[in-house]
Parts: sequence; C-alpha cells; structure tokens
Amino acid sequence: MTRSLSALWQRLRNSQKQRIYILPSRAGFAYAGLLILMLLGAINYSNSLGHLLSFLLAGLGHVTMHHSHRNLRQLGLSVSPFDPVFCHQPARLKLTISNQDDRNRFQLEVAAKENQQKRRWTLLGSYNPLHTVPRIDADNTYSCTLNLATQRRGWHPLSSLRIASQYPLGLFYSWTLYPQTAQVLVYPEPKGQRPLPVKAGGHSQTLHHEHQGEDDFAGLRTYRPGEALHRVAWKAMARDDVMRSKQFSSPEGDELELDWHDLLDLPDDEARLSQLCRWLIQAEQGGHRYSLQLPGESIQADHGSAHQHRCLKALALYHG
Amino acid sequence: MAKAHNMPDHHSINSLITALFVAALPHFVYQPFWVGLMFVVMMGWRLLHSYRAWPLPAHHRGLKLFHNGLAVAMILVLFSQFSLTIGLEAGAALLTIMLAFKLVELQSLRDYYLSCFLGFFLIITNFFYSQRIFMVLPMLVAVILLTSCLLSINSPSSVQSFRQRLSLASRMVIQSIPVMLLLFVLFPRIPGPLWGVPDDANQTASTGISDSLTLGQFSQLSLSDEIAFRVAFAEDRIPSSANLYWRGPVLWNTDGQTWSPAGNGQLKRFEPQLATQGEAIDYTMTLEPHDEQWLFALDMPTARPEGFLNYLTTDGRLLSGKPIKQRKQYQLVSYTGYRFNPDTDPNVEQALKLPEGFHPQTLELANQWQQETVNSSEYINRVLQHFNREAFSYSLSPPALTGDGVDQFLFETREGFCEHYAVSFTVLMRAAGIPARVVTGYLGGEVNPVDNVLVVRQRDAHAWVEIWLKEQGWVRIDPTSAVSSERIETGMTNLLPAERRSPLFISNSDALLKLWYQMRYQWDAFNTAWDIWVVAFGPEKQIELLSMLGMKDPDWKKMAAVLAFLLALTGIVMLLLSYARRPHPDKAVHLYQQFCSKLARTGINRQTHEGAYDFSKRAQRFLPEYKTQIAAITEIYNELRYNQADNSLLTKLESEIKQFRPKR
Repeated sequence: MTRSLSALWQRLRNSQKQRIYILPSRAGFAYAGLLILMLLGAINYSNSLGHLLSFLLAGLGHVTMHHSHRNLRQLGLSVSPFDPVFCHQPARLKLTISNQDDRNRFQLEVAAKENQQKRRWTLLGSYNPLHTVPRIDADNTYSCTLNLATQRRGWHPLSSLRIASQYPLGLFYSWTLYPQTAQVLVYPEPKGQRPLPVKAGGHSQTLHHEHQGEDDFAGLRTYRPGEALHRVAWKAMARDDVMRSKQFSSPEGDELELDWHDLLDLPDDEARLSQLCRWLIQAEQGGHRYSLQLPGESIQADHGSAHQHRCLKALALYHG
Repeated sequence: MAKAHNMPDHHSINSLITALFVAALPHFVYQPFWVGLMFVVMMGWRLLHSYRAWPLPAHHRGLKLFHNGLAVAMILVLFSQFSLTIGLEAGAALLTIMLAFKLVELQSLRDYYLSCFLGFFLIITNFFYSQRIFMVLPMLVAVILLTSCLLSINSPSSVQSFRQRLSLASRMVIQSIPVMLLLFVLFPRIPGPLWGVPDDANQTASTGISDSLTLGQFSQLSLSDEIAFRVAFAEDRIPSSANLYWRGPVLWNTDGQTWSPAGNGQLKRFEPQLATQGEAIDYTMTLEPHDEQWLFALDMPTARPEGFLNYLTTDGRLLSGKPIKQRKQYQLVSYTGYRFNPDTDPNVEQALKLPEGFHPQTLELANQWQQETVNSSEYINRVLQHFNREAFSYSLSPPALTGDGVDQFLFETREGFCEHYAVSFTVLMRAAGIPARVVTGYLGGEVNPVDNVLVVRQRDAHAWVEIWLKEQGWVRIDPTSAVSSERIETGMTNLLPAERRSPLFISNSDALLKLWYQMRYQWDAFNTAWDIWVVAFGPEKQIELLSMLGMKDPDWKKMAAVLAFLLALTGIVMLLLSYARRPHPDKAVHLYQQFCSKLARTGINRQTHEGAYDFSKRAQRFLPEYKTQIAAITEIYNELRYNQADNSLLTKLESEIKQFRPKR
C-alpha cells in the first residue's frame, strides 16, 4: 500500500516537470453557454431533474479536463539528429514519442515553433502543425518522421515542439511544450546556370560540356537530394524504384577552383552562394578535386563527402 | 487544430442519429404525431445517405429547395398548432423538428458540435414533461450516447471502435457523478421562476378533487391511482384508519344540483375555537401539485404550517396563498379528537339554506321523521338507520341521476357512493333545521410497510358531513359508513375490482400475490424517496438537508464556500487517482517491478534499455553481498517470462522477493 502510494507520488512529482496547459476550446465555451442556459431553464421551472442534468454535464466538463490532462502527461519525446539539407527542401527529423502510462493516447498533434516571428501576440498561432498521431497504445512508443520546411540557409534551430490535443470531447484545448536543442544545418539552395570553372591557375576558364572526362560513366549510386535531375538513372529506377544518379569520372588531378570573386557580376550574395553550392555538387559528382574561395575564408583543394560538407557548411554559414 | 478531418464521417453521423433518437423518444409520446414522424423521416433520409448513398440537400439544388421549404412549412404548422405563444411544449416541438432538419444537412464539425449540444437540450426538455424515475435511465443512456458522439469526432473511427467509445463515454459519465451530487446538494438553489412561466409549464393535475360537487362526478376519480399526497408521521405513529379523514374544501352552498364552498365574504370572520383531546399527531405532508389553493390536513389541524403564505379559515380549511403548482411539503399537528366552535358559530345560518322548490320528496320525508322524533340526535339516528336498514348499497358505478338528484337517489336508485350519501344526508339535516355542511377530501390511504409512509391516492377521495350541535360544535358524521363500513375501515383498495389490484395472471397464487405486493411496496417507497428527496429538492429542502447534516443556518455564502472547498478536494482526489497505475497483467512482471523498486531505493535504477540480465549483473556489482539473491530472482523471472509460466515458480519468486531486503 505505502509502496504503491510512494510510486504514485513519484509519478506525480515527475509529471510536474512537464507543464500542461489547458484552455477551453471554442466548442468548450459553447458548451459552458449551454450549461448556463440549461441551468437557467431548470431554475426558472424549478425542475429538479433539469438541475441534475446541468450538474451532470458540468461534472462531465470537469472530467473531460482530467482526461485531457491525462492524454498529454507522462509522454516521453526524443528527436533524432538531423542530416543537413539544402534550402527549400524539408528538413527531416525522426520523432519518437513514448507513452509511459497504462492508458492509450489519442489524437496528438505535433507542431513545431515557427522560426519567423511574425505575429507574436498569437499564442497558439506561432506553431506549425506537422503531424497528427492517431493513437499510442499503453506503455508503447510511436515513431514518425517530421518534415520541417526550410526557408533560409544557416543553422536552423528547432526551438520547441508542441504536443496538443482536443481529445476526448473537443471541449478543451490542451498543449505541452518540449524545448529542443537540436538544430539542422541548411545549405544554400543549389541554383545558377554558370558552367563549372575549368582549372586551377591564375585565370579561370570555363569547363565545357564537351569535356571528355565528364562523359566517362563510372557507375551508379543512391540519389542524394540536390543532385541534378538529368543525372538520375530513370531506367534503373523503373526496375526497382530506387532513385540513383549516374556518376562520371574525370581524369585524375583535374583540380577546380571555385571562387566567390568569379561571381561578382551576379545580383547578390545569395545568388553567388547558390551558384557556388551548385558547382560544389557538380564538382564532387564529377570526381574533381576542388577548392573554395570565399571572402575571408578559403578551403584547400580536396574531394570526398567530408570535404564537400565542409565547403557547403562554409557556404551555409557565410556572413557577408 | 486538427484540420485533417473537418468533416464528420458516417460513423459519427450514425451514432449521432442513434443518440438523438433516444433523446427524442419521450417526445414521440408527448408531442403531436407529425413531429415524431418528421423526425423519423429526416433521420431515415440521412441514414439512407450513409448506407445507400442517397443524395443530400447539399448535393442537389432541388433537394435543397425541398428541404428548406419543408422546414419552413413545419414551422408554419407549428405556429398554427400552438398559436404563436412559444411555450414550453411549442419550444420542445420546434427543437425536435429543427434538430431533425439540421441533421440532414449537417456537413461541418461545427454543425456536429451544435447538434450534440442541442441534443443535450432536447434531453432537458423531456424533464419538463415528466420527472418520474423511469425517465432517468433512457436519458442517462442518451447522455452517454451523445458523449460518445463527441468522442467520435475527436478520434478517428479507425483507432477507436464504437464499443470502445461507448465504454469510455460511460466511464466519463460515471466519473462525473461525484461532482454532480456535490453541485446538486450544495449549489445554492434559487427559487424560481426567474421570468414568467407560461401556464403549460407544470403538468396540472387533470385528476384531483374539485371545489364543487355535482352528483355523479366522483365516480371517475375514485378509480385513479394517481397519488394525491404522502404523509410521514413522526415516530411512525399512524392513527387508526377510521380516523384518517383528510380535510379539503368545505361546501356550504347549493343550487339544488351543485354544491360549492362559501363565497368571498359570505362567512363572518371570527376567531375559531378549538378544544382538543387525545394525543397530538405530528406529521409531514407531501402534496402533489393540483393547481388549486387548498391544502389537505388530517381532521383537525391546530395551527397553520410554517414556511409559506397560507390561511386557516373559519370553517377549518387550510388554504395556500398561491395555487400549488409544484410538489409541496409542510408540517402539521392535528388532533383526531376535538370540539370545533362548541359554544357559538356565527355562520350556522349559512348551513341551513336550501334552495326553493328542490327535493320535495326529501323535504316531506324529513318533515315526517322530525315529527316522529323528539330531538336532533334521535332524528340523526333515524336517518342513519334509514340508510342502514333500507336497501341502500355502496357502488362505485351507480346509475346516472337525471332528475332531482337527491330525490331520485333516496327514493329510486338507492345506489351510490360517498357523495350521494353525504349530499342527501346534508339535505335531510338542513330540512330538519340542523346546520350541516359537506366536507370533501380523502379518507384513509395505504401505509407502505417499507418506509411507513402513508400514500393517499385519488381513488381515496371521499365526502362526508359536518353538523353543528349545541355544546358539541361541528361533529363529523360519515353517512357512507352506515351503508358500507368496509369503505371506512379497510379503505378503497378492497372495493376495487381484482384486476385493478394485481395483474390477472398472478391473482390465483397467494405466494405470487404476496411477492407482487412486496415488490410494489418497495417500488412505491423508492418512488416516494425519489419524489421527496430528488424531485422536490428545492431551496427549502436544501436548507433542511444541510441543517440536518450539521450546517448552522445555511445561506448561500456558506454553501458556496463549502461547495468550492469540496469541489477542489474532488478535483485533487480525482487527479491523484488518475496517477494510480493498474498492476501489470502478468503477475511475474508485477513482482519483478517490486524487486526493481526495492533496488531503486538503494540507488540502483533500472534503465529503460536495460534487460533483466544486464540489470542483475550491474546490481550484483554494486551489491556483492546480495549477489546470489539477485541472480536467483533474475533467473526465476527470466524462466517465468521466457520459458514456462509455472505457478510453483511464481510462488517461489514471490517469497524470494519478499525476503530480499537490500541495504547499502
């Protein structure tokens, strides 16, 4: 008895750490209005069963609040680390919600805080609904992938996740916030029509499409977001539904210098960064060694995905 | 929020139809048939859409026109039927019809919520027709169904079946009962009405004795089983049934056919004298509403009841200040032995009047007897003997009287019940110069052995006579007793035909009959408690109950304070209860959890990712002196969980864990 009581106390203490907010929804206010009307009618006609029904429904409202609260508490949230994405591609994040209670949960809406603070005074509006969890069974977990829209390059912090619900009766809107430390790196959007610069050296030359090395087919690999669509092996995809891109090899030792200063005639910094980004991808796919020159930063020529990430990160975090 | 399903699906619609149908069931009885018909037709239309994909008004312009036109037509019919006064009945009919029409065109979630809420309103309108106990169960079902409707639009039908929703809704409704009871008892009651109550608000008793009496009228009444009032005697001291005369209207005036009470100002006002003898009888009356002003009291009350406006008139009637439109409770003290105005009564003249030119034969007979007798008491005995010895009989269905009622009864039909005897006796008295008046009310009643409450029904209605004699005052004489002593002594029940007392098929077996009576008494007692403690629970009853529970001088401030405290307490208790976990269905896991919490107290917490084996290894490292015990428990647990579920193994695990008391 005392043991179960202390366990109960422990659960109560633990769940106090996670604050749950409850407000009546619009339907809830309508319900309250209905109760008042019914009570007035019952008083006017001195109708005892009318009183009884009004009070029963008032009790039901109270019970609904408890159920609402119970639906949201004792939930565990874990968010898996992000892979970097290119701007305007959805940042994908794996969310696992664990139900630590012996009751099933229903209809949980997961929302993420919008980074653009547009209307600060709307308490609920600044969250962007991402996913609805229809049900989590007792002592079970639920996993889903969330797609977050990205608008800007740079670090994209996931400031806070909100889990909200109107379950069970839709009379109360309850929510709870999970501040997050995870952040996703957003590369610039690969964009721009300029061909790859040819060769390292004093002056740059453009690499022509007819260049021999580009056409040596080197094999297939899994498609990565950001690669050009004309590289996709559509025929292979028709066979087994896996998106692959064709890889081409260039002659060894072909070193490219991707330089910010070659793009000074582009309208703005973002366009330059986008073009550089595109070049980086093309250079990596082409199997070239490449170096990156940015104002205030330069990265030595190299190749490989770690090198590519380093360069893309430099682009993502570039401050003019 | 969840914009995912903005439209209620078929499952939700169908459960809403079911719920509203149950909520509207009583309306089919109380309202004009076409209201129910329209309701069923509209629900049927929506069901045919769900199952047969029939078009709805939203899908077709013509149908929309038809639907809206029909709705307008219905409202017009409603107005013509209820003549533009929106009373309760018309309002309820309007609500029923509008809900039915709304359901056909229901499209959005908002409409769905609205319909559910109006459904709750539909339930409350039923209670304005009847607050009987049998109303409660179907309406409770309707509340649960409507709650499950609200559930259905807040969780998709794919994750929660209708049965699961129903069970959750029932649980929620049951959980709301504590708060309901608290509010019912402690919410400060406000005496109604807040605004004008239309006349049809309370079902006025269609039965019940009236304040005028025309021969032949009571035969209808004496067969009704409706309850007139209930009496609870203090300390359950119930007077003998021959003394249970319940005084009602006193009739002084007659035009030869109809008897009526004294008009306004007809009787001289004076202070009535009442000398009592015998024991005081203390009792509480619970009067059913009869829409009249008179109150009944055991012959003869000594003082007015307290707590509301009422009068005690000079002819010993109790009158309420207002017509009794709701169940009324009052306390009285009466004496069955009394002398009323023994010395003088200024109104005796009024009790001698007879209309000119009526009852010639009766007057002649009275004249003849008067000459044959020496004094009043001999004359009275002569009259009673006449009723007793001649071929007079007591009958609940006497032949109709067409001419001069009294003459015809005394000389031709000689068959009748209380009012025939009372009226003719009064006429015979007045003809001989003895002041007499007719008193109407009830006689007897049935004591329910379960709760010792005397139940007086409309069939117990009675009429008797009071005559005024010098030094004795007004004396009650019941001429019916001269004809049928059974009516007086054993009450009305035995005079009723057998099929009125019990269903025919059990009347042959004594055991069954006994059981039947027992069950009926229980049921009646339950109904009495229901009527007195639930239906009649108003401001006065609330104060009475709260004082009984120990609250001193309850007023609304105290009630509100106690209510707020208890509501907060209930909320906290419910919150705590909601944290309680059900024990794990597998006993082994349940025991193992105890083991883990014992270890947790020494600071070794099992991690969620940790299997039983890994955890035991870690625990053994920290607590080397308990190594064998921990290993043994873990081994038994793993055996139970993953190899074989054996009862002897389970008891072994239980004892091992019991003995395990780790200390650091």
